[in-house]
Amino acid sequence: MSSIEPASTETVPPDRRVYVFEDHQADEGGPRSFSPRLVAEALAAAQAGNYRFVSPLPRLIGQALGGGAPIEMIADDPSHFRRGVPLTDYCKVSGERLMVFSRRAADALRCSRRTGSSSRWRAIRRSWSAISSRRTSTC
Amino acid sequence: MACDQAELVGYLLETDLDVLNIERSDLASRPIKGKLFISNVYKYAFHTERLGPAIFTANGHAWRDLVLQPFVDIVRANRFAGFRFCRVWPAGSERLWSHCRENWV
Repeated sequence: MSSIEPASTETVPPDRRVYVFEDHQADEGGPRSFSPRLVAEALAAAQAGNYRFVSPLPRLIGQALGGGAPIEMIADDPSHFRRGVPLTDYCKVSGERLMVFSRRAADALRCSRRTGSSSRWRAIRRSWSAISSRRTSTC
Repeated sequence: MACDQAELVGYLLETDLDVLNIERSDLASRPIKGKLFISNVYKYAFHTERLGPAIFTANGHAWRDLVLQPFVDIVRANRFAGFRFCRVWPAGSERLWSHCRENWV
Protein backbone atom coordinates (compact mmCIF):
# COMPACT_ATOMS: atom_id res chain seq x y z
CA MET A 1 0.00 0.00 0.00
CA SER A 2 1.35 3.37 -0.92
CA SER A 3 2.08 5.87 1.79
CA ILE A 4 2.33 8.71 -0.65
CA GLU A 5 0.18 11.65 0.32
CA PRO A 6 -1.84 13.09 -2.53
CA ALA A 7 -1.58 16.75 -3.35
CA SER A 8 -4.72 18.59 -2.43
CA THR A 9 -6.75 20.19 -5.16
CA GLU A 10 -5.97 23.53 -3.55
CA THR A 11 -2.24 23.25 -4.27
CA VAL A 12 -2.59 22.44 -7.98
CA PRO A 13 -3.96 25.13 -10.30
CA PRO A 14 -7.05 23.87 -12.15
CA ASP A 15 -5.39 24.11 -15.55
CA ARG A 16 -2.57 21.84 -14.37
CA ARG A 17 -4.69 18.95 -13.30
CA VAL A 18 -3.43 15.86 -15.08
CA TYR A 19 -5.50 13.07 -16.56
CA VAL A 20 -4.61 9.72 -18.07
CA PHE A 21 -6.12 9.73 -21.53
CA GLU A 22 -7.31 6.65 -23.42
CA ASP A 23 -9.72 5.79 -26.17
CA HIS A 24 -13.12 4.43 -25.20
CA GLN A 25 -13.11 1.00 -26.74
CA ALA A 26 -16.01 -0.99 -28.12
CA ASP A 27 -15.91 -3.76 -25.54
CA GLU A 28 -16.53 -1.13 -22.89
CA GLY A 29 -19.40 0.53 -24.70
CA GLY A 30 -17.38 2.95 -26.76
CA PRO A 31 -18.19 4.32 -30.21
CA ARG A 32 -17.28 2.72 -33.53
CA SER A 33 -13.58 3.02 -34.14
CA PHE A 34 -11.31 2.92 -37.19
CA SER A 35 -8.44 0.72 -38.31
CA PRO A 36 -5.90 0.96 -41.09
CA ARG A 37 -7.34 -1.07 -43.97
CA LEU A 38 -4.10 -2.90 -44.69
CA VAL A 39 -3.73 -3.85 -41.03
CA ALA A 40 -7.27 -5.22 -40.89
CA GLU A 41 -6.69 -7.21 -44.08
CA ALA A 42 -3.36 -8.58 -42.88
CA LEU A 43 -4.92 -9.63 -39.60
CA ALA A 44 -7.82 -11.36 -41.31
CA ALA A 45 -5.45 -13.15 -43.69
CA ALA A 46 -3.24 -14.30 -40.82
CA GLN A 47 -6.22 -15.64 -38.93
CA ALA A 48 -7.58 -17.42 -42.01
CA GLY A 49 -4.20 -18.88 -42.88
CA ASN A 50 -3.25 -19.59 -39.28
CA TYR A 51 0.07 -17.85 -39.51
CA ARG A 52 1.72 -15.18 -37.43
CA PHE A 53 0.37 -11.69 -37.89
CA VAL A 54 2.94 -9.06 -38.75
CA SER A 55 1.50 -5.57 -38.74
CA PRO A 56 2.27 -3.41 -41.77
CA LEU A 57 1.54 -0.30 -39.73
CA PRO A 58 5.14 0.72 -38.92
CA ARG A 59 5.88 0.66 -42.63
CA LEU A 60 2.72 2.61 -43.42
CA ILE A 61 3.55 5.26 -40.83
CA GLY A 62 7.08 5.54 -42.12
CA GLN A 63 5.86 5.96 -45.66
CA ALA A 64 3.25 8.53 -44.68
CA LEU A 65 5.74 10.58 -42.68
CA GLY A 66 8.16 10.38 -45.57
CA GLY A 67 5.67 11.96 -47.91
CA GLY A 68 4.29 8.77 -49.41
CA ALA A 69 0.75 7.49 -49.57
CA PRO A 70 -1.69 8.45 -46.82
CA ILE A 71 -2.81 5.69 -44.48
CA GLU A 72 -6.16 4.38 -45.59
CA MET A 73 -8.57 3.94 -42.71
CA ILE A 74 -11.84 2.00 -42.52
CA ALA A 75 -14.54 1.99 -39.87
CA ASP A 76 -14.45 -1.23 -37.89
CA ASP A 77 -16.98 -3.97 -38.57
CA PRO A 78 -20.39 -2.69 -37.38
CA SER A 79 -21.30 -6.16 -36.12
CA HIS A 80 -18.81 -5.61 -33.29
CA PHE A 81 -20.73 -2.62 -31.97
CA ARG A 82 -24.11 -1.78 -30.58
CA ARG A 83 -26.60 -0.85 -33.25
CA GLY A 84 -26.59 2.83 -34.06
CA VAL A 85 -23.41 3.58 -32.19
CA PRO A 86 -21.71 6.70 -33.64
CA LEU A 87 -18.32 6.87 -35.27
CA THR A 88 -15.64 7.85 -32.83
CA ASP A 89 -13.84 11.16 -32.66
CA TYR A 90 -10.72 9.49 -31.31
CA CYS A 91 -9.09 6.10 -31.35
CA LYS A 92 -5.60 4.78 -30.99
CA VAL A 93 -4.23 2.06 -33.20
CA SER A 94 -3.13 -0.64 -30.83
CA GLY A 95 0.48 -1.66 -30.84
CA GLU A 96 1.60 1.67 -32.22
CA ARG A 97 1.48 5.25 -31.13
CA LEU A 98 -0.77 6.39 -33.91
CA MET A 99 -3.53 8.66 -32.60
CA VAL A 100 -6.49 9.05 -34.93
CA PHE A 101 -8.81 12.03 -34.49
CA SER A 102 -11.85 13.21 -36.37
CA ARG A 103 -11.07 16.43 -38.15
CA ARG A 104 -13.48 18.37 -35.96
CA ALA A 105 -11.85 17.08 -32.78
CA ALA A 106 -8.36 17.74 -34.07
CA ASP A 107 -9.32 21.24 -35.10
CA ALA A 108 -10.91 22.01 -31.75
CA LEU A 109 -7.91 20.72 -29.83
CA ARG A 110 -5.14 22.03 -32.04
CA CYS A 111 -6.70 25.41 -32.65
CA SER A 112 -7.26 26.14 -29.01
CA ARG A 113 -4.65 28.40 -27.53
CA ARG A 114 -5.04 26.43 -24.34
CA THR A 115 -4.07 23.12 -25.90
CA GLY A 116 -2.61 23.57 -29.32
CA SER A 117 0.33 25.87 -28.95
CA SER A 118 2.75 24.02 -26.75
CA SER A 119 2.61 20.31 -27.55
CA ARG A 120 4.38 18.76 -30.49
CA TRP A 121 1.91 16.74 -32.48
CA ARG A 122 3.54 15.08 -35.42
CA ALA A 123 0.90 14.90 -38.07
CA ILE A 124 0.69 12.28 -40.73
CA ARG A 125 0.99 13.74 -44.20
CA ARG A 126 -1.82 15.78 -45.77
CA SER A 127 -3.66 16.33 -42.53
CA TRP A 128 -0.74 18.41 -41.36
CA SER A 129 -0.86 20.82 -44.26
CA ALA A 130 -4.62 21.12 -43.94
CA ILE A 131 -4.50 21.90 -40.27
CA SER A 132 -1.49 24.15 -40.60
CA SER A 133 -3.13 26.34 -43.16
CA ARG A 134 -6.31 26.51 -41.15
CA ARG A 135 -4.42 27.46 -38.03
CA THR A 136 -2.72 30.36 -39.66
CA SER A 137 -5.99 31.74 -40.88
CA THR A 138 -8.38 31.12 -38.03
CA CYS A 139 -6.55 30.14 -34.88
CA MET B 1 -5.15 9.78 -43.63
CA ALA B 2 -7.64 8.66 -46.22
CA CYS B 3 -11.09 7.42 -45.25
CA ASP B 4 -14.39 7.22 -47.12
CA GLN B 5 -16.51 7.26 -43.97
CA ALA B 6 -15.07 10.18 -42.03
CA GLU B 7 -12.53 12.94 -42.23
CA LEU B 8 -9.65 11.79 -40.07
CA VAL B 9 -6.26 13.06 -39.09
CA GLY B 10 -3.43 11.09 -37.56
CA TYR B 11 -0.80 12.12 -35.06
CA LEU B 12 2.22 10.74 -33.35
CA LEU B 13 2.67 12.36 -29.96
CA GLU B 14 6.27 13.45 -29.51
CA THR B 15 6.11 15.60 -26.41
CA ASP B 16 7.81 13.72 -23.60
CA LEU B 17 8.43 15.81 -20.50
CA ASP B 18 10.57 15.42 -17.42
CA VAL B 19 7.67 16.21 -15.11
CA LEU B 20 7.27 13.16 -12.87
CA ASN B 21 8.30 13.59 -9.28
CA ILE B 22 10.13 10.29 -9.08
CA GLU B 23 10.49 10.35 -5.31
CA ARG B 24 6.81 10.92 -4.66
CA SER B 25 5.38 8.76 -7.42
CA ASP B 26 4.73 5.09 -6.88
CA LEU B 27 6.26 3.33 -9.85
CA ALA B 28 8.19 0.35 -11.12
CA SER B 29 11.49 1.25 -12.68
CA ARG B 30 15.03 0.13 -13.27
CA PRO B 31 18.16 1.79 -14.56
CA ILE B 32 19.19 0.93 -18.09
CA LYS B 33 22.41 2.39 -19.44
CA GLY B 34 22.36 5.14 -16.87
CA LYS B 35 18.76 6.15 -17.50
CA LEU B 36 15.73 5.31 -15.40
CA PHE B 37 13.36 3.11 -17.36
CA ILE B 38 9.81 3.32 -16.00
CA SER B 39 7.83 0.20 -16.71
CA ASN B 40 4.70 1.09 -14.77
CA VAL B 41 3.26 3.95 -12.75
CA TYR B 42 0.91 3.03 -9.93
CA LYS B 43 0.51 6.51 -8.61
CA TYR B 44 1.47 9.78 -10.21
CA ALA B 45 3.09 12.78 -8.57
CA PHE B 46 4.22 15.66 -10.72
CA HIS B 47 6.40 18.70 -10.52
CA THR B 48 3.41 20.91 -11.10
CA GLU B 49 5.50 23.91 -12.04
CA ARG B 50 6.98 21.99 -14.98
CA LEU B 51 3.61 21.19 -16.54
CA GLY B 52 2.57 23.17 -19.59
CA PRO B 53 1.86 21.32 -22.84
CA ALA B 54 -1.70 20.08 -22.88
CA ILE B 55 -0.87 16.57 -24.12
CA PHE B 56 2.31 14.70 -23.35
CA THR B 57 3.98 11.62 -22.05
CA ALA B 58 6.08 11.70 -18.91
CA ASN B 59 9.68 10.68 -18.36
CA GLY B 60 9.85 8.23 -21.22
CA HIS B 61 6.81 6.26 -20.06
CA ALA B 62 5.63 6.41 -23.62
CA TRP B 63 2.60 4.18 -23.61
CA ARG B 64 0.59 6.29 -21.19
CA ASP B 65 -0.78 9.48 -22.69
CA LEU B 66 -1.46 12.34 -20.34
CA VAL B 67 -3.43 15.55 -20.79
CA LEU B 68 -4.15 18.67 -18.78
CA GLN B 69 -7.52 20.01 -17.77
CA PRO B 70 -7.94 22.35 -20.78
CA PHE B 71 -7.78 19.37 -23.15
CA VAL B 72 -10.48 17.59 -21.13
CA ASP B 73 -12.61 20.72 -21.04
CA ILE B 74 -12.61 21.06 -24.82
CA VAL B 75 -13.53 17.41 -25.34
CA ARG B 76 -16.38 17.71 -22.87
CA ALA B 77 -17.62 21.01 -24.24
CA ASN B 78 -17.84 19.58 -27.74
CA ARG B 79 -19.21 16.19 -26.60
CA PHE B 80 -16.65 14.35 -28.66
CA ALA B 81 -17.03 10.56 -28.61
CA GLY B 82 -14.32 8.04 -27.85
CA PHE B 83 -12.32 9.92 -25.23
CA ARG B 84 -11.84 8.71 -21.67
CA PHE B 85 -10.02 10.46 -18.89
CA CYS B 86 -9.00 9.54 -15.39
CA ARG B 87 -7.62 12.25 -13.16
CA VAL B 88 -4.29 11.31 -11.63
CA TRP B 89 -3.01 14.66 -10.35
CA PRO B 90 -3.94 15.72 -7.84
CA ALA B 91 -4.82 12.18 -7.00
CA GLY B 92 -7.68 12.84 -4.60
CA SER B 93 -8.68 9.90 -2.51
CA GLU B 94 -7.64 7.27 -5.04
CA ARG B 95 -4.57 5.35 -3.93
CA LEU B 96 -3.62 3.94 -7.29
CA TRP B 97 -4.73 5.43 -10.54
CA SER B 98 -5.67 2.07 -11.98
CA HIS B 99 -8.29 1.77 -9.25
CA CYS B 100 -10.21 4.64 -10.74
CA ARG B 101 -10.68 2.83 -14.02
CA GLU B 102 -14.29 2.39 -12.99
CA ASN B 103 -14.60 6.14 -12.75
CA TRP B 104 -13.59 7.29 -16.19
CA VAL B 105 -14.96 10.68 -17.04
